[in-house]
Amino acid sequence: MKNYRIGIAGAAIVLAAGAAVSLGEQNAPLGLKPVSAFAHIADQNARAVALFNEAGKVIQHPRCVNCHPAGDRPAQGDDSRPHQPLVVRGPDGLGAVAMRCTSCHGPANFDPGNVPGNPRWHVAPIEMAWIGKSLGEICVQIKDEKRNGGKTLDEIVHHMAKDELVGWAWNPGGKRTPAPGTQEVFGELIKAWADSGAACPASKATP
Amino acid sequence: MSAAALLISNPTPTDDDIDLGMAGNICRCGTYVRIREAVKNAAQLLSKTGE
Amino acid sequence: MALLERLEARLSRRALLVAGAAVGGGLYVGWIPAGNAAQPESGQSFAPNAFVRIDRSGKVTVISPMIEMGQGTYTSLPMLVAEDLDVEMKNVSVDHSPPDDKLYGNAHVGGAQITGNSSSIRAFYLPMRQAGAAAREMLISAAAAKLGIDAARLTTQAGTVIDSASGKRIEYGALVDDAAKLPVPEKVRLKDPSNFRIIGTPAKRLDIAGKVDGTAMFGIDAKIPGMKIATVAASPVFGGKLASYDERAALAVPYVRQIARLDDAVAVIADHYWAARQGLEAAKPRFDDGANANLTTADVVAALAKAAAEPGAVAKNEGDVPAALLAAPTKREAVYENPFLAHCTMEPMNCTAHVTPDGCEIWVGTQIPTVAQMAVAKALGIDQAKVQIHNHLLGGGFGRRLEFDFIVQAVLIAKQCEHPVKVVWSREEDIQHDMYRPYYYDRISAGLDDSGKIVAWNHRIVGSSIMARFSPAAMKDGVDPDAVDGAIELPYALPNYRVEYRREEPPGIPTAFWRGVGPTRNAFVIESFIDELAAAANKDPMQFRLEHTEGTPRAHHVLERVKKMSGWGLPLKPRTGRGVALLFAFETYMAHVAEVSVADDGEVRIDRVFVAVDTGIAVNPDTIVAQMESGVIFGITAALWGEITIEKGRVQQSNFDDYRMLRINETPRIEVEIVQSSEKPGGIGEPGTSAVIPAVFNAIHAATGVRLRRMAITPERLKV
Repeated sequence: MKNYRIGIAGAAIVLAAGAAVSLGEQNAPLGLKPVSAFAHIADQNARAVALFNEAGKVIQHPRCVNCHPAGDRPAQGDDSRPHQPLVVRGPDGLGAVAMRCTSCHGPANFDPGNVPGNPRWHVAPIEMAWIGKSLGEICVQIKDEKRNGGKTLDEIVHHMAKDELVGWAWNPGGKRTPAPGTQEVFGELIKAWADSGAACPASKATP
Repeated sequence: MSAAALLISNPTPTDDDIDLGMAGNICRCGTYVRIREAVKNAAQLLSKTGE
Repeated sequence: MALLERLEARLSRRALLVAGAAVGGGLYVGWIPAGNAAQPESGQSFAPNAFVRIDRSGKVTVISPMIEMGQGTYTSLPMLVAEDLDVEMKNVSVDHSPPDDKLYGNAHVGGAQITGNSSSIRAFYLPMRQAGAAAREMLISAAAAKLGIDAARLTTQAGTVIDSASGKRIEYGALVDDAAKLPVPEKVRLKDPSNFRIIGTPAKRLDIAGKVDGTAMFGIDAKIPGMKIATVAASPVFGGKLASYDERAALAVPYVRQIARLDDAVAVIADHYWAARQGLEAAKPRFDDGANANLTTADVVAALAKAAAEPGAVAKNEGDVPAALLAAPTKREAVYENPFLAHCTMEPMNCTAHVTPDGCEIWVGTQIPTVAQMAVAKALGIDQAKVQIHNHLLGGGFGRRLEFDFIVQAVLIAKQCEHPVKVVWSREEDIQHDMYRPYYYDRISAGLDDSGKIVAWNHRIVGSSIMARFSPAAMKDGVDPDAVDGAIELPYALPNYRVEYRREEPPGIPTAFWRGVGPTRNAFVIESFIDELAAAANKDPMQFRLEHTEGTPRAHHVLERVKKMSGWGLPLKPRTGRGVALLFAFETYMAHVAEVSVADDGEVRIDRVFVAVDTGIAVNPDTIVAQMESGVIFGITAALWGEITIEKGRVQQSNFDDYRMLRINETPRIEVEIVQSSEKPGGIGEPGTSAVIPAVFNAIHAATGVRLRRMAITPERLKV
């Protein structure tokens, strides 16, 4: 146990330096278009949809959807395969009673073991399931206070732009591909979408 | 340790509960069948002694 | 001749029992295996070949010639002693044997002190029983003298000599000093199996308590005063050399003490493992990759395929295979491939060494204490007698610990220090610097007659020769006996039968024995191909095998049993199938049926495995079941995900995230039936792995119609 605590402290030091290194080592992340790229769209709804589609590159990226499963079991990897070993959301999204997420996931990424970490590591509630849904369906879900944890649109915008667990997607550590762009740009896209009336892309089932 | 944690929180685990609680532990020598039985044995013993 | 008489006769003709007084009082009895017989020089106290030690309190210590790696030797071998010595297992404990080929050599592996090849019981069934029996007779003689009566009046029970006529009882402990002075009997009578009280029972393991309460000492647990801990990075490309590293950066890491440099590796020595690990990362070693810098798996396979087109050394040639093949109305041929596999013992490679001007002391878990001793002596240029090895429990052997590479490496590192050094490999280092089960490429063909009987069998086996390196004397006319093990003594009626072996070495990649050795590779090829022949003959695979084993009753019987156990023939859900495999290897007969479901996305799940095993006399049935479960799980892991791949001269896998292991939630229900037999004992540690692999592949074929001829089973190959 003592070694583990030393390890986490050590990892934090390594991570600060390492995060930048590992980002550099990845394939150049797909960029996110900035809000200004959509300013030319005159129609408010069309602009909102275009902005949300761009934000969708993050929302439907493996770093995000892997922990928004439709079933009990989160996914992992860029191919979103079932998390190995078997782990489940459990009664509270924090894992089975005898195998909590924190059994392996610490408060920070642990690169020597290639294990991602965050102080609030957990599986999103089932009403926030994204896997298997179209971006349009996810959009509607995000706006629905009954399914988004009781958030107003303003709170959604704040959550996307500032939440630290959301922010993990851009600093996943190890061999994991980060979400495109940065949380800052993503937050701006979401704000611009909200400001433009928050229209959703058409709902169609994901093939 | 995983088994101990499992039994503290769930004194009467089913086979599925055991799988969920122990899936994180790899046994290269393949004693899983016996691990399951041992956890069930321990559960029974614990319920008798009340420890 | 009844087994017992055979045992007695063998004893008196071929070997010599020696005994003597133990230091501090007590009785030592040992057995010098035939072939290693060394007569004690007259006038000198004999060199004890000690398997048994009894002290004045009556406590029995068995010194086990074979190391415990979870497979149960530290219980089964003492059981053999306890049976004929007539003591209860609760009064028996077990100790490691020191390195000594003369005393503890294994006749089944050329006489050296080697634990492997599923041979512990086969090699020591008689010697341990004889040692126990001899000690018992000497104790009886001592009691007879003490009581002044005829020894024939005396019996024993649970560590006590009894004279039923007078009711007098003397415990063994009270007799040991007198017994030690007696001559060792030249002929001992072994107990009749009908009187067994211990052999054949599921006696409790002697090693469990220590493994549960943490007192059990594995190599990695060694704690030597003044010891430092090191971790090491060797050239990732096979054959590469160390070029440079940042010594200052490594030494700047807190608790790092020293850097040691080897030809092909750098080691960081520190107060604890984490510091050593961080020091190694700071050192950022660079290597000259050398000639193999661009090697890929495809290169290896291409070379094997080319070699497979040429004839090999003949391992077996009965009848006239070319003519029979030509004449056969139905012919089938196939190429099968066995990939590189890593061992992944749960305890990673480690060794603690202390090199001083006086010699070298080593603490390690090893399957080869004497071979390691020799290798270390050679590496240091000193006398073998100056190398002390303390053996430990093994956290997995599987053949990896039949090698001494990591031991010599630790010694060369320790040589650069004054204090003892424990070298521990990370999991990544362990997987990427394994000595792999070699890639094998087989061409196999057979001919069937009109009634669906095999009339010709032609098998060419191509791959690295482990024996040529491990034990060159075992090679005969170009044939590696391990490469053809499990291929030249098939339990099937094969009137024309030819097997060839062609040696082809992968550049730079070290190869070694892996659980099941030759039989594991050959069983995959042969038992899969037998299923292909059954299909060609339009026969059910079980029925096809039953028909071809009418002349081998023990094989036929295990097939019949497993057929019943598995409900063979009963309907199954779609995309579910049963596969059978028959194995005769390590002198054991076994038949497996695996029941497998294949999901639409190609994911394979093994639902149930049934095993019928005839391993002759079953010493500890629970151990046999345990080894079946263990072997099955080990084999399923290999069948599903076992594949070490090479790219740019280095192994691509590194840890359990990309070299996957079966988990508890993926484990099938395993049913084992042990055939009651009084035949001589067979080996049990390895065959379970060998047989389950083809059973799984055959089940996949039954479930999906897809015939896979190479591991690993990737879902893409089985998608709907």
